[in-house]
Amino acid sequence: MEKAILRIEHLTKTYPGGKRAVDDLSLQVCAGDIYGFIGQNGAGKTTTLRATVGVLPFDGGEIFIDGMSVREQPVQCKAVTAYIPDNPDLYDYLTGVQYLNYIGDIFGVEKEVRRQRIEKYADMFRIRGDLGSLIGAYSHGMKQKLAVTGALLHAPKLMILDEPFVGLDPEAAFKLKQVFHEMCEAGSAIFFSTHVLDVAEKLCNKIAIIKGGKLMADGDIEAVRGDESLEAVFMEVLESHEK
Amino acid sequence: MKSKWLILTKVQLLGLLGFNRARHTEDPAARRKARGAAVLLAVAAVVIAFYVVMVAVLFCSQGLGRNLPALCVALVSMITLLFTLLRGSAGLFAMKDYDQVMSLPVTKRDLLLSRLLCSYLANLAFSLGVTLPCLIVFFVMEGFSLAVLAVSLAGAVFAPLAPMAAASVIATLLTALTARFRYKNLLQTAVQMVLFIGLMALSFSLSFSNASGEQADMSALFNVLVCKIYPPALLIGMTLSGQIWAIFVFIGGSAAIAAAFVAVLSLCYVRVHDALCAKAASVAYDAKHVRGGSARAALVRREFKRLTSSPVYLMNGVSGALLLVLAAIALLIFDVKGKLLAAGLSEEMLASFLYGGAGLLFMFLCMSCPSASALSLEGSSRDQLFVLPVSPRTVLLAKTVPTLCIDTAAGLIGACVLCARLGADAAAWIALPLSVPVFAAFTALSGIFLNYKFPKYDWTTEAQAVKQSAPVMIMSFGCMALGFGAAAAGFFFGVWAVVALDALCLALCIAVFAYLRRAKLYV
Repeated sequence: MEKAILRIEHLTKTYPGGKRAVDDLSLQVCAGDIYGFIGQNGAGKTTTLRATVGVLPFDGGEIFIDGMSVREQPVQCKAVTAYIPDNPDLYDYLTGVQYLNYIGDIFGVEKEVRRQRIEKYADMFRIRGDLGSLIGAYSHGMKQKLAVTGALLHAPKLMILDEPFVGLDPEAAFKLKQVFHEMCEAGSAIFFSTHVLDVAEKLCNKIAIIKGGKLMADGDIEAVRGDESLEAVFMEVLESHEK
Repeated sequence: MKSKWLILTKVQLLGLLGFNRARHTEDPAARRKARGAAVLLAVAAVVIAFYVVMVAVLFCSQGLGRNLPALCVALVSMITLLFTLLRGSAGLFAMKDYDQVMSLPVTKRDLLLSRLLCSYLANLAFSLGVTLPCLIVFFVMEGFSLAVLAVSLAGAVFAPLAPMAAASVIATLLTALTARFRYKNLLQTAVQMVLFIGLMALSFSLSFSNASGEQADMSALFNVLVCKIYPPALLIGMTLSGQIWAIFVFIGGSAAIAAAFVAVLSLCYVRVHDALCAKAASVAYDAKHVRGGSARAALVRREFKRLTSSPVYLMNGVSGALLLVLAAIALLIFDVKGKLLAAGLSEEMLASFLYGGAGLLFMFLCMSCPSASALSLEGSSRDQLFVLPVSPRTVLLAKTVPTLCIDTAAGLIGACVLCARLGADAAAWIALPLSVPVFAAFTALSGIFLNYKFPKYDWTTEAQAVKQSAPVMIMSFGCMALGFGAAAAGFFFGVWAVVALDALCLALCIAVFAYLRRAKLYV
């Protein structure tokens, strides 16, 4: 039986004022999964991701990461997770290497391991030449690459990303996909949201489609898609529930 | 069609105190916070009005009531100048919404005008807050005068213009000149501090040097003092003496300076902005920069870097401590004890002054509190902090460390110098230095507690979080009131008042420390 790294059970989140952003959502991401989370704008993707990483409180349901409850053991859950938001607003007043040291210290990454990983990923994403500069001087794409490097520094069991390919150049996007595969082979799991169905179709082994906070479809990509393209399935799912 | 500068101003004002958000939100907690902010503003206004009324009553009882309008203009102008200087160029440039606003079909003049207008309205509110209570006292004690009313209101309305323009020019030049330095923030802060202290010292030294002329006519002497603080304020006094043209010179001069500032700066606004946002050349990775440490140390280190990364944060964060150190230096230079004894004060009275000093020490330390805005400054990047695998209490306590360190260091200097120069007895030598870490801990913990309860994450300039947020205002005005109260209690009750204040602070520290165990950090 597959080992569940992330288990979301009947998650419900209502914002103050009554807007229900996520409604009784359940899904499971297992070790080795690259799990795509797709939906329209305002469907509840980011709310789900933020609740999962413990920065947004939720009203109902439960979220488990590596068997630990996000509600009861938030610090332990965060220690095995990496999160990259859609627009990583990093600290402009730190240099790239200071930021990575900061992340390394927080996650307790041993110095030599830290150095090796910084060099590996900085070379991979071609930011080595800028790591001594202030983050304030970075472009959006460079900040994204630095955020990814920071996220990979502690070899997380679960990596959660919100629209990770936005702002990345084609080479960096390709390298990031490679990293996803490497991590999954090592027993980690990736859970990410995207609007780009093409990426989800080629990269993910599992997907979930969310609309209006409710899960419309989920499971192995072949099972969800059948003989059709993911785009056609996505449109069908949305339209069938509108009727 | 509405003028564009008016539309821009309206949008900025809507975001200023969070009332628009409260009006349109469905979240009851946000509404409660807005109501709390409104109450806080009212309390701040009452505290200012109280002090102004006390001073006005004193002047009117000495027969100097007609000098009050000029004094109001002089003080408002000086305070506007100092606070605009403290704010630096952040009010005009380097705003987060710069790209978005500059992409709109608005002229640079409209943009500049709207930004200046926002600052002006805040200063005008302060100016009226000082002038109106003065006028009321004057009318109650000396009878109604239409001339005084008209001149005072004209003075209050136009007083902030010229100092704002002058301080903005100085701050902008300073920022532009230091923009390409590696440690530009520290350099800017250092120069701003020198200017700030220099202006204060100059103003006070001139005031006191003239105050010694005992033979002079009080009213004439008073005019000289006003003139030394802010020379154009003398025009207000001249108007009330019958020289009507003087008020037109004051109004025209103030308006002309502000207009010239807008006209000139709008010509070079983009260039100045680009210079201020200049980026240094790339610096490559060096393996020797990779080092290890604990999570707590990493959080604390980041807090210190944050403090030194922003001139407006640093200036506001250390100004109270800095003033305390300067006061200590002044105490070392001047023989205050000798002068007080020469003035007929007994040794017992001096001891009372010493314990009253503990209250003032407390007020200086609380006056500027970086922890009161440390959480708000996380702004839109706060989820980067909240996802880290450390407890919320660890995060919040790390944010108190800069306040704790700065206040303890400055407080110990102040307490020791005060004890040494006023000839403290053993009890005072124990009570005052021991009170310092307690006051510092109280300031740091109260600041972070208030910031946790009332965070202001939606700022477009750091100054909004550092100067205009509810926690900062509560700390400034609350501690000012508490400090004066403690000073009075210390004066009358001696060491026991200090012990009581310490016990109160300690109890509140323990309560906040325990409360933070239950804290949760959510976006």
